[in-house]
Parts: sequence; C-alpha cells; structure tokens
Amino acid sequence: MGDRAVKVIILAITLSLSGCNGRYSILDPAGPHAQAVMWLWWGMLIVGSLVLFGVCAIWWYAMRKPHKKYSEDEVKGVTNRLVVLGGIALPVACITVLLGFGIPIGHSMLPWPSEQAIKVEVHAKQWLWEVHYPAQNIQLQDKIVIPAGVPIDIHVSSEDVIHSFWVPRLGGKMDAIPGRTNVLRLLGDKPGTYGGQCAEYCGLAHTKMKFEVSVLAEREFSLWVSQQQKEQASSE
Amino acid sequence: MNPGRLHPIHYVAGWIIWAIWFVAAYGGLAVACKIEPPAPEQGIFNWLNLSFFVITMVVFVLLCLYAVDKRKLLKEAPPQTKFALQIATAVYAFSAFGTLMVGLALVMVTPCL
Amino acid sequence: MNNDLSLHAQFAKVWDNLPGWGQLAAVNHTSISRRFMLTGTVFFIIGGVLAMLIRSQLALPEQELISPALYAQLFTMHGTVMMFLFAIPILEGAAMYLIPKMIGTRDLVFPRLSALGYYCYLFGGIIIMTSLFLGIAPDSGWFMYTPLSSAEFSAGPGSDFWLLGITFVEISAVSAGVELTVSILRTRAPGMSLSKMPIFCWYILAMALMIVFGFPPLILASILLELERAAGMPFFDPAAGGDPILWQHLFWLFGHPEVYIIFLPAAGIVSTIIPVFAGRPLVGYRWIVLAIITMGFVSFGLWVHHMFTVGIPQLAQAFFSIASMLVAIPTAIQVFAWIATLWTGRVRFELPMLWMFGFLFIFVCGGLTGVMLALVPFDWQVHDTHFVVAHFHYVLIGGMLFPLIGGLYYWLPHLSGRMPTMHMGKWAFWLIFIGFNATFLMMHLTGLLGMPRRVVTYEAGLGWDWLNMLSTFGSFIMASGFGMLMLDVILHFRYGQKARFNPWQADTLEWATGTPPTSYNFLSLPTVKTRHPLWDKPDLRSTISDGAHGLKRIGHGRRELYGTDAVTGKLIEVIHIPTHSWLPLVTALFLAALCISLLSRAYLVALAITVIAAICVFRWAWVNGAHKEMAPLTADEEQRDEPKLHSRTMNGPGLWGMVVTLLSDGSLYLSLLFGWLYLWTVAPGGKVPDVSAVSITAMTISGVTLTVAVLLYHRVIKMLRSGAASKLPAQFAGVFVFGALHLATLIYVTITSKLAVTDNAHDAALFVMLMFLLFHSSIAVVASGLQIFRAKKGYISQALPYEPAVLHPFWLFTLGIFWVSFACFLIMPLVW
Repeated sequence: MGDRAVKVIILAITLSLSGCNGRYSILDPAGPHAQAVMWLWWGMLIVGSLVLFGVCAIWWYAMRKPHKKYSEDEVKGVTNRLVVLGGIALPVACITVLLGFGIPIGHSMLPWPSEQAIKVEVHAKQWLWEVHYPAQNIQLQDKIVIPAGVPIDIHVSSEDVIHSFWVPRLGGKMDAIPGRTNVLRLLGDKPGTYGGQCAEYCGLAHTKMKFEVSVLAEREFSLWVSQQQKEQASSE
Repeated sequence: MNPGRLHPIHYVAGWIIWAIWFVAAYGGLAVACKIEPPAPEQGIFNWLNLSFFVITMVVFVLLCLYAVDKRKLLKEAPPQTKFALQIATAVYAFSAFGTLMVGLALVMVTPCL
Repeated sequence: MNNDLSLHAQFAKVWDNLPGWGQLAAVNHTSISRRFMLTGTVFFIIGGVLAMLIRSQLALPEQELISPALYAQLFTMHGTVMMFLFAIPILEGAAMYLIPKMIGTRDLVFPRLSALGYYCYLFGGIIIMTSLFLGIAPDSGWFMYTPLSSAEFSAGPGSDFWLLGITFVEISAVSAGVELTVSILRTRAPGMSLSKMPIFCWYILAMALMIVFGFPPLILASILLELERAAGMPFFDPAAGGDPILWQHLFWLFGHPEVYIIFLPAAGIVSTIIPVFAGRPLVGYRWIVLAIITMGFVSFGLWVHHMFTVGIPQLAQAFFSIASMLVAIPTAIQVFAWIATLWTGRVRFELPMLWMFGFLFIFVCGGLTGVMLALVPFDWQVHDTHFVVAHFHYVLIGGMLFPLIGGLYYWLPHLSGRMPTMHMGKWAFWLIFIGFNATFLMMHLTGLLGMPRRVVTYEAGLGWDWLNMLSTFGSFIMASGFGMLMLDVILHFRYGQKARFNPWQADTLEWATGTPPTSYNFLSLPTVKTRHPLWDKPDLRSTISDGAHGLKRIGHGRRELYGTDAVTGKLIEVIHIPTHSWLPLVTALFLAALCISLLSRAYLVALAITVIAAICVFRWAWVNGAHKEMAPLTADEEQRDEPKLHSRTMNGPGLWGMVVTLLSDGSLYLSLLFGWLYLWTVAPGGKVPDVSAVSITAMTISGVTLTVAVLLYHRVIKMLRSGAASKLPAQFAGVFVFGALHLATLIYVTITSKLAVTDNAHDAALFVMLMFLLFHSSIAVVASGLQIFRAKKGYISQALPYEPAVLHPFWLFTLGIFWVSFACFLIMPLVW
C-alpha cells in the first residue's frame, strides 16, 4: 500500500516536471507573479507530501505494531504527546511558515500606486473581451499587448454576468463583476504570446471565451502603440 | 460560589465571544474603509490598525481571564462538573489563541486595499 | 416468560407502523431514517450517472458528445444532487437511525416532524429531478451565481426549480436539525450526562446546530433571488442599488459550514468505529469534544475563502485566509487522537477498518490541498480550475463517503441481522480507492496546467489530454467499484451469516436493541452510568428485554420516552410522543403543490394552497397535548410510579424545539439584516432614501400594541409558573385582541407604504422585512386565538401549563424582531 502510493507520487512528479509547459500552465510562468506562485506550489507540494505520508505511516504503524499493555498514565502520555505535537504544533508550524511566505508574496502582487503603470481597461461580455488603453486610446478585442517588465493595471469590468479574467502564465485571476471595477496587476518579463481565458462559468460559450496576451520588449511596444494609433486614426 | 460560573454556556462561550469579535472586526474594517480609509503611505501604522490591535488585545485578555477562571474553578468544583470545566477552559484558551492568531496577522497588513 | 412475550406484543401494538398503505403514515424513527437512507442512495446513483456523463464528455479533446446546454445542466445537477439530495439527507438519515438507539431511548422527540421532513425531501427531490428529465434543469452551476441565474440570463424555469426545490429540501434539513438537537439534549438515558454521551452524539449535536444556523442564509438568499426573478425586486442588480456579490456572501455563509456539516457526522463514524476495533475506549475524548466545538464555530468564519477573486479588500482576504487555516488544527487533533487510540489498543483489522484507512489517506490529502487553497496568492491562480475540483472531491469523498461506507459495513448487522464479508467488500474497496485516486489525484495537475472548471471541452495539445483520459478511466473503475459495493450489500441481505449479539463487541447502546431492532428499540429504559454501557454491563441487552429497567408500562397505549436534563441527564419527566399520522404526508403534499404552483407562476392558486397548508399545520398542532388523541388528563395521574408527563410541566421538548427553531429563525433574520446593511454600505450603488417610505407613527402604534400583547402573555406565564392561573380563556383573549390590533396596524403600514420595490433594492429589502414581521405576527396571533379555545376545552389549565410555555418564546421573538427592525431598518437611516 505505502509502496504503491510512493510509486504513484514519483511517477506524478516525473510526469509533471516533463509536462508542465503549455499555453495555460501555472507551472510554466512568464512573469514574476506567476513565478512566485509556482515556487509556492512546489514548496507546498513537498511539505504536504511529507505530512501526508508521515501521518499515514504513523497510522499504519499504530495499527500494525505489536500489541503492548499500556497503563492509564502511559495512555495519557501517548495521547498528549501525539495530540499536542501532531494535532497542534504541526499545523501551527505549517500555517505560520505558509503565511510567512504567502502574505508577503500576496502583498507584492497588489496594484500598488506606480508612476510607470499602464492602465488597460478590460470589459467582459458574453462572450468576448473588449480591451481599451485609455492613455494611448487604442481599442482591441480578445487581445492585449503589453510591454515586458512594465506593471500593467488591468481594470476589469463586466457588461452582463460575472466573468473572470485569467492569464495563467502571468498571474492570478480577477473576477469581472457587473457594477464594479476590479484592478489586477499584470507583470510579464518574457516576451511571447500567452493564453488567457474566462475562469468563471458565464453561460453557454464560456469554454470559448478566450483571449491572448502578447508581451513585447519595451521598444517594440512603443512601436506597436504608434502603429496602432495610426491605424485606428485612419480607419475613423 | 456563583452558579453562573458553571453554566453550560461556558462550553461554547469562548467561541461565541470570538465570533462576535470576528464579525465586529470584519464589519468594522469594511465600514471604516468606506468612511475614512487611512492613507496607504502610512503602511501598517495608522489609526485603524491601532484601534484594531487594541480591540484584539482586549478580547484576547478577556478570553485568557476566563480560561484562568475556569481553570481555578476546576480545583474546587465538585467532580461531576469537572468535564464541563475542562472543556470550558480549553475552549476559552483556544478561542484566545484564535483571536491572537488572526488579530496579529491582520495588524501586519495595510488596511483598505 | 410468557408474560414477557405478551409485553413485547403489547409494545409492538403501540409502536409498530400501520400495515400496507398505512406505512405511509409511519412516523417511527427507524422506518423514516431507513427511507432517508434509501432515497439518498437513489439520488447518489443519479448523481453518479451525471458524473459519468461529464467524464465521458471530457475524455477526449474537442468531443461533441454532449451539447454545451446539456452539459451545463449536467454539472449543475451533479453538484446539486450530491450536496443537497445525497450527502446531507443520507447523513441525517444515519443520525436519525442511530441517535435514539445510542442514547437509549425509543424514538426521536418529534416523530411527525421527521415524517414531514422526509416527505419534503422526497417531493423536493422529485420536483428537482423532473426538471432534468424535461430538459429544463437549472444550468448556472450549483452555486447559482447571479446575474447568470437571474431572469435576464436564465429566462427558463431552471433556476426556479433550483430555488424552490432546494428551499423545500432545506426545510427538511432544518427540521431534522431541530429534532436531532432536542432529542440529544432532552431524551438521553437517565444518568447519561454530557460527559458520558457517546462521541457520535457530540458530532451529531454539532452538525444539527450547524444546520440550524447555517441553512437559513441560503434559504433567505433563495427567497430573495426568487423574488427578483418572479417579482422584479432588484436585490442583486447593481443598476438599482443591488449587488451580485451579496448572493455570494449569503450562499457561502451557508456553503462553507455545509462542508463541515457533511464532515462532522462522518468523523463521528470514524470516532465510533476506531475504538471498537482497537478494543479500547477512545483516547482524548475531551480533545475531540474540544475539536468538534472549535470546528463548529470556526467553520462559520471561513466563507469568504470562496470569494478571494471577487476583488474584496486584501485585509478581508488575510482575515479569512488565516481563519481557514486555523480549522486545520481541530482536524489534526482528531486525526492524532484516532492514531493514539490505535496506538494504545489491540487492533482487529476488519472490513470497516479498511475504509477507515482509505478515509485517512484521502481526507488528509484533501485537507492539505485545502490549506494550500486558503493561501490567497495560490488561490488566485488555481481558483475555479480543476485543482479545486480535485481538492473538494478529496475532501468530500474522502471525508464523507469513505467513513459512511465504513459505517455502512459496521452497522449492516444492525440493519439486517447479518454479517458482511471481506470477499467482495475488499474488492469493492480497492476498486473505489484506486479508481478514486486515478480520477482525482492527477486532476490536481490538470488544474495546475490551467484547465478551468465547467468547460464543456478543450483543445488538444495543452497537456490536458492524457490527464483527462486518465480521470475518465479512473472514474469508470470507481463506478464499477460502487456497483460491486451495492451488489455486496444486496447479496449480504440474503446470504450473509446471521449476526451474533453485538458482533463487533461495541460499547454503545444501539447494539443492545437486538438486530434488527424492534420498533420501540428498548422494552425498558436503562440508567447509564458510564461512557461504555455495553462493555461495563454485557448483560444489558437481556435485562432491557426482560423489562428490568424503567418505563415498561404500556397499558395506557401511549408512546413514551424519558425526558432528562440537558446537562446532567437527570430524569425529570416522561415525554409522550405522537403515533402514526397522515398529517405529515398531507401537509407535505400541499407544500409540494405550493412549490409547483409557484413554479408555474400561478400565484392565486399558491395563495389558496398556502391557506390549506396552514390549516393542516394548525390541525396538527391542535391534536396535541391533552387532546383526546394524545394524552388526556386522567384521574390516576398522580398515582403513577413514573415522573410527570411532559404536558403537565412547563419544560417539555416542545419548548426546546421552539427555542432551537427560533435560533434558526433568528439566523434567517440576521442574514436579512446583514443583507440590508450590506446593500446600504458596501453595494456599489447602495443608498437609503432621505424620507422613510413607511409611516413611523403607524409603526410605533403597531409596536406599542404588540408590546402590550406580549406583556399580557408574559403575565399568563408568570401566573402559571406560580400556580395561580385562573380565567385563562379571558387572559388569552386579551392577548389575542392586542395582538390582532398590532397585526391590523402592521398590515395597514404595509399596504400604505410607498415602497418602490422594483426600482430600488433598499425598498425591496424593507418589503421583505415587513413580510417577515407579518408572517411572525400572524402566526403568534392565530396561535393565541386558538389558545382561547384550547383553554375553554380544558387542554390548557393550571394542570396543563405546557402549551403557553411553548408559545412564550415565539411571542418574545416576534417582539424582539419588531423593535430591532424598527430601530435598524427605519430609524437608523434617518439619524445617520
């Protein structure tokens, strides 16, 4: 039993290491936010696996060990040791370490006021994403272009039902809720094209509500902006 | 001895106090942020976090005092109330711990963001 | 011996169900709970088939086996059926079966309520399933987020089926919650103090109370959403001062405790089984009680962790993140107390223990991913992906289904009188265990590779293909395991070896009933002095059956239980409970008709049916107490060697039932108050009008007359307490007159108010508040009106002071909510 489970986990780790990349993979980050979460995950996986197999092993041992007669006091001792160490100290230690890493990481992902940040408005509706760059006056649909290394503030809003804006390889998701505007800080550092998708069930074509984020080097981005502005001006 | 100190409510009173603190703190923070949010530049040292910290410590000390009271009673109380007092002591202690845990982590966070 | 046999026959005559169709009038807890469990199993199979369809569709990329519209119905119904029609009812059924037997009594305290609860569940379930067969099932996900579930985006009746059907089923859950709470607190065997209660009862007590507090937020939310859909009241529409996030708060305020409502009884099964197979008492009983109490409370402080991505303040996220992790502590305490029990015991490895180990592995794994999910930045990434799907299946199947099946095998001899065997049971276990892990273990990775929930299909080449194939493959292995499990159980009823007395050498009283049990469980009711009655007195079964203990007289033809003190278990009274009746079935039928008429939007019909249903309920109330069908006063009342009947005291189970029901009612009211405050302060377009649309003067008059009525009522109670009550009909008439005046003014206020209920969420909330007050005032007034007649008939008197005491808290509650509403809803906005 224990053996089998170990094999499964080893297999799982090998497979997942080789198969982590993919258009929407959290484990193949292209920006600092997504990267932090990825490391968080690997850390938690290791600690979690240790705890899981530790607990199962103790249980198995407790069930299978040769029987011994315990006096009342010994029972009390065993109980208090197990419960205080395993039931209280272990979770408290894990939680403290987890929060010690997690809260600062979460903190660093917030849309702190920044001079540099570019504002992009994303308006979700059944079943597409309208994108607007207010400062640059550019309109797009189902496509966002951003410069690498520059913080982007995505202002997410919705026309109809609740949607959720998510670019797994760049960072966490943010719900688009009618009546509200939520702000998500997006940061990409590797030029490339990344998939984005709606993560909250929003009706029949939820599955098809996808978009694309292109991260360009900063110089190319400025070029793209001026080109877009020209195109959109001429089309008007 | 005051019979109220042995009332069965003490089985759960610790967590009831915790729950009231939890709701008041959560609701209070939401409303305070709506009415007069402290400037984010102040970081964690602002009036809201300070008052939150004070309230948390008051609740924490209150729960600890209760735990100590039940623990003391345990020595003098009749044996049939022993179980109730042990549970009550532990519940007060746990809820005090819960208050501290949530409260301390919260004062280290910049509010209203 | 001959004499004893006839005593058993006499008991059977009083306690057995009516034969034939009369079974439908049964109220006995053993019968009702078996029906709960059987119906729950049927819904489990239906939910399982839905899951298989979902997995088939996802087996290969870009499949078009199932259309997106049908797929949406399938995943919505799978969640709904499993949560509301399987998990909760089957656990309640198990609790209803076991609790009276474990605490050494003959039935639950409100048997007719159990029957009503069952029929509400059955009819509600059938109504919801009908929508699936008609192809108009709800399709906005089992959590029904607005605005997707609102009239604009779900125009068909699907959402209505969900809102009305589920509310119907929830009424059943809440009534079971009330009944279990009062039964555990008031009908334990004499001497069974809280500290000597079997640990399972602690778990069920916590679960029942959590249902009582946890379900009302969803009931309120469903009422609000149905009002929005049917009457256009914009509670969740931001354009009119509503907020879709309010739905999420109310839903998860229910939804998170629900997870623990499901987990606690299952953990209770684990805590019961492990000591038996370890051959020693559970160690750390106090630790576990502490853990149960802790879980019960902390689980109400976690709901926002389902909402980390809706853009709530970071501080609130930290708040709920930490609280979510805190709940790991009581869980870990229980796990290590179980380990300590095994450690210090001599373990026998039988079939139920196999399921216990499966439970441990899967549940701990699910618990660990739960702690991960509580971490906000990680949740931002994996929220609404297959990682979450994997996580909660680990928690729910590991934490609920595995212990439940372990419990099934453990109590099978009790149900059937026959033993299960390892042969097929082992196979079923390994098929389910391996199939489960094959389905869900790698699904964590599917989620990490970015596959969101509820997508009907996916592109090839994203790395999801083989993972989905594996999950589908695993799910079919698991399904075949369940098939084998059911076959094993069915075959065992026929071929299983006859069980000896107490086959597992358990310590708890349910094994003293004989297997299978009689309808009255125990011929005589023992006094319990320890936590392990059967270990300390192995002959208990025969002494009980020989009538060596209490309450063995049956000549009066009443079903009787002992009523004991909630804390010490001291014997204080004899509780007489009602026998079989058609009233629960008839009432439930009318409630089902009400549900259907609301679904078809025939509101006049609905109103008529409501009146008829109310008449049924009041008839039900009428044939109680000293009514000739129940326990009329007799001349030899004082000569009994047993304590007084409860209807001759002021502290019967009805009072407790009333108080617990009002706790639930209070939770509903607080949810409404929360919703209103939320709409005012947090909703994006929230505002309150400058002038009150409701006449403050008329409200004040209404309040003053209500106060007078309650003071008069209070005086009656005081007189009954002091033993000096006289002219009771006149007294109740006074209460009735002032109550009616209050009600008339309140109706006047409601009719003349200038509430723009369809334009503005605030006014709509105010309207719901007025309806809430009207509902309570009407019931109080009608009930006190009936009391006039009951006092005249002699059902209420100084010798029968029970009923006024039951209604007393209801009047106080009505008064309380009136003035709180007055202060909060009407005065606060004006002085702000």
